[in-house]
Amino acid sequence: MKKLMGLIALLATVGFVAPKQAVAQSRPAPGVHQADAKASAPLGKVAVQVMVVLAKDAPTRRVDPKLKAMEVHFGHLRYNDYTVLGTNNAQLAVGAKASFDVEGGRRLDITVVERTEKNVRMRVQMFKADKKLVDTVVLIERGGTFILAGPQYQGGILLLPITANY
Amino acid sequence: MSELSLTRLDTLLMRVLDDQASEVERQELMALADAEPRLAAQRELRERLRAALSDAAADPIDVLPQVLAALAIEDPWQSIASGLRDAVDGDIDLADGIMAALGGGELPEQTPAASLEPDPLPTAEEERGMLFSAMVDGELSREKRAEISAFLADDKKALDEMTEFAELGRVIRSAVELETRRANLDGLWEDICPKIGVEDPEHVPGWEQTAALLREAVQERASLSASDEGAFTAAIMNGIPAQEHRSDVQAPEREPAAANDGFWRVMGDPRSLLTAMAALFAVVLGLRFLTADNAPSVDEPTVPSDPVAQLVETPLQDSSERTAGMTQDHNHAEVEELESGRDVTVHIMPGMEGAPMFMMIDEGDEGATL
Repeated sequence: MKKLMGLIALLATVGFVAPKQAVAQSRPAPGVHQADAKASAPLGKVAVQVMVVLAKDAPTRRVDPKLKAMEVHFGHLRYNDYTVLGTNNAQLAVGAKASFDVEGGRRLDITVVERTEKNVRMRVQMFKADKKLVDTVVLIERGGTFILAGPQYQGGILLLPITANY
Repeated sequence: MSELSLTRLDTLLMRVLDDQASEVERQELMALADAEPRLAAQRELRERLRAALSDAAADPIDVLPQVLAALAIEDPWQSIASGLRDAVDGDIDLADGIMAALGGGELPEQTPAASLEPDPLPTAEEERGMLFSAMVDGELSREKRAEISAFLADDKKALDEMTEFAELGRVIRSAVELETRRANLDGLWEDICPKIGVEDPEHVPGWEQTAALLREAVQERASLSASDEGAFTAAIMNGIPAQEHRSDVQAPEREPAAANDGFWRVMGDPRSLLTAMAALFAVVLGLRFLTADNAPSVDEPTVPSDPVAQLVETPLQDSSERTAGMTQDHNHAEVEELESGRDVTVHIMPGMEGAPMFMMIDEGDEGATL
């Protein structure tokens, strides 16, 4: 029995030092006002949605019904056929990263850097094979969308509307 | 010396310069130089000329210009070069300077008749406009697009012009689309609203509740095909403001778990206790492994410990519902940092009036167009 109690004591020593440190990190630093800490505190996750849209030329105009809400913003593009190839969703905590496969052997990495009441700061990286195409940090309004566009695919280009909501 | 002799002297000098003069011609040249009064006083120059002409290996090119200068025979290209230099130094039309140096005088003034030419040369402003238009239409090479993108980044006026061209393109496409549309559904929704009891066409309190009534209203008309009905529904959806899914109520911050919480969970379940013992055994084994000089070097690659997102595999029930926010003014975005790969061109088109920002990527090998 003594051995068992010793084992338990050792477990308590080895296994629970790390959790204490983790809890300490999540607390605001001394001297930081509570309101400020709350404004930038990672209280929840950010719902990130990445749509993959193929824009190409076609004899007649055709817009995927899923894109009706954003069709008005495609006016300056010269294409008239818009098809949603896929929709990816991820729930990201601050500091978390998600990788999305994109048509044409590309990959999109999105990391939530910071989240406030009004904005979310995201790092967006796009790769093709081993080549990094773009690496950017974008500040997006809560519930807003920005569109990564241009990669060639099947005679058209890909549009990647990226929406962040929480 | 007669004009004829001077011309002959000039010819011989040119043949020497071209390394085509024979020995007889060299002697003739020297004789003419000796007879030339303008060279008579320049004994040293004549001696240098003689040495240059007598030594086949010597390069006479250094002395010949001086001989020419003494004879006041100008190298015709010198005057052209002077004209070019003048034109470049001053703010004058280069073409006129060259024409004057060539002896052709200035370019003729454009006469009224000439101004009626059907295709006058475009001005710089017009050329720039044509370039921007071509860029919007995707008619430029990758190099040209990269050049213009760099230019646009520093020139707000040019950026505005690009936006105008893009807007013009949108208007034209919209006009063409309207002309070629089979059925014009504009205004249909406003007609239907009173029949279904919706007072404000711009505000629909609940789509699900009104969908059935809408279907009935459409069926009453009984003139829409399946595809038109789809477009009709989409048009209505497009007109419905997106609902706010956010809540102003802040979720209470979760109390951090007590440091010994896991300990008591372990104690509470015998199976957990066994698991913990196995873990302890693994820890002890690991410690022994580390102390036996088998520990990995610090430089060795390690598995990244970045938190990985939980991917949601199931798509949204209705993607347009989630992206409906794009019709509102929620799309403000700013690029804070930007790096691109070699041969990759990135062009930012900031969103205006609630439109989303476009980040156009030109991958280089294939090229992308707006």
